[in-house]
Amino acid sequence: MKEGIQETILKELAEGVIQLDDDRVKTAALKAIAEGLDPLVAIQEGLVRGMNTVGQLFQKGEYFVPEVLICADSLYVGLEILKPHLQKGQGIKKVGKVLIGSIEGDVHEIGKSLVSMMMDIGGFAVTDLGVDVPLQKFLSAHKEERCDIMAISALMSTTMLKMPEFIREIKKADPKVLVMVGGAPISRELAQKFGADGYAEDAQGAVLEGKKILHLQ
Amino acid sequence: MVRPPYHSRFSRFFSLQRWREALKQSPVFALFDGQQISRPVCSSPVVNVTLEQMDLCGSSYPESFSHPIHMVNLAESAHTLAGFEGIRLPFDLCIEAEALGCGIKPAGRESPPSVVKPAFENFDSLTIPPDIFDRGRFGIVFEAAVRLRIKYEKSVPIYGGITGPFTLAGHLCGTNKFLKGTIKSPDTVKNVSKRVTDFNIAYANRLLEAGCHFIVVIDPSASGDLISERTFQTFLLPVYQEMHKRIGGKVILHICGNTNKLLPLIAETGFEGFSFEGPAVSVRAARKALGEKMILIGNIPTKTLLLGSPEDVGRDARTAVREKVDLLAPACGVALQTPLANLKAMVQAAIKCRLDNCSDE
Repeated sequence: MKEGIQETILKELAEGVIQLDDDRVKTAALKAIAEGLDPLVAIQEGLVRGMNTVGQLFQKGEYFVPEVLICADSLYVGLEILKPHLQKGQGIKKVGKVLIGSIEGDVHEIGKSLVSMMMDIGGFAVTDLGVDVPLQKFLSAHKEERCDIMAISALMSTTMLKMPEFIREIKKADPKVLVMVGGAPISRELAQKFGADGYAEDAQGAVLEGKKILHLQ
Repeated sequence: MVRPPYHSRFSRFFSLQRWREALKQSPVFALFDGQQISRPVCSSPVVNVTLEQMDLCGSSYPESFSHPIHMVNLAESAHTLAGFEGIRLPFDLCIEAEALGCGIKPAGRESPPSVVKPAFENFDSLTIPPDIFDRGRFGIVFEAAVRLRIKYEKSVPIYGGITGPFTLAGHLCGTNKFLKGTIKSPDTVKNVSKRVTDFNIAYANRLLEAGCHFIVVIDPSASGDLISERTFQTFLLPVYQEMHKRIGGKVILHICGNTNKLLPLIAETGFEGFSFEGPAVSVRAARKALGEKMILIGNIPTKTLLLGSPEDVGRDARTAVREKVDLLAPACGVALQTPLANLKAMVQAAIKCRLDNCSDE
């Protein structure tokens, strides 16, 4: 019986996220707590699983940016409710640390934020440096945070040209850090030419690529 | 032998008189009037400014954004230096947003200005002041258009670019918020779009009055990369149709990125031209969906222009011409570091194609 309830709640959480329905997520999250469901399970098996489906729908071209943004909002509604109930030390285990930002001169935000959000949901600890981020800001942020991956985005072919220099300097400062790049004008070929360790075409791909270059998958 | 500029050299009707007439008026006008011209013409309704042009013409960023003479100088440089049969102004997508109160990162030597902060906290507070055209840099663009028109009359088409309604609404209210609004509060978003569209139409008509021949509606936020066909159909198609009805001139729509799925809807906008981005959208696909309804403009990838050789550009240009593009143009605003030689290669490819029927050597 208990099993059954747990299944229903998890399914409700996932479905709520997928169907862009924050009320449904809210109700399910409250019910999860009332029923004594492990909040970590609720987050990972409910909310995050739902968001993964959203990522796949986005990749397939069934969902678009507005849908994904609202799905994420619904997920965060659930997260807000569930998080305070996590036991101490029972944080969501992070698979790696990511510093992300749009490259200097580039103020395009949508794609970058989407990647930042999906990686956060996908289990990375993400620090978003925003847009128009100069090299120095990446380097000083890395000094403080010691990240595993630096993710740089460029939507313009002009700003994309700065990537090789950024990558070179980042590697010079810390050869261990892995660099991922993305954005409309970039291809896997170009990314390799620039000296990047990873490239992804979209947000869902970025999560997988991040795990791949960290050898987690 | 000296050849007439666009007639087939085998034309039996060639006369000096007609040649003179033709010289006075660019074939682009005939094309938009539905006449057959011996294709193609290299004419770009998207921004085509490079650092090399700036050095050569003596007008550069950032002063060309805010000084009419410099704007004229730089705008015509693609025509005078590369041989493009078209002049495009202005060079940025912030004129409207800036005048309406958005936070702007100012232009630099190598970067156009950009919008960094929306002007309005919520959808309801969005208002367009009645004296809007006296604000910001509108006056500069109008003056530049007047000067260009006096200088060129109809020998070269002058394209006036405006920020499309979806993109402008995003600038004004925050793009993420606006995109989410399409699902969460569709009526409010429709209302906002309507107000923004009215302003778009007023601005477009002012540009035409000032001297622009064509209006180019640049709407990157309407890209198929961001929104679905349903969103396009519900929110954009009616808006574009309204613009088509009320703008007193011919309009070219430019949407970046992958618009393949949107093509059947774009065909219904009523706009006279469509400028699209290669390699995501091929000329063949665009022709298949749009038929002869719209003048097809594009689609030389900006990446080829930036990183390729003149030969690469020539190859892409010949492909576009073979697939029957009407106006050969960069797929999107060109990167500033683009070599001028690559822009010239586009023009050369167009001329060469006219002469030898575009066979690959």
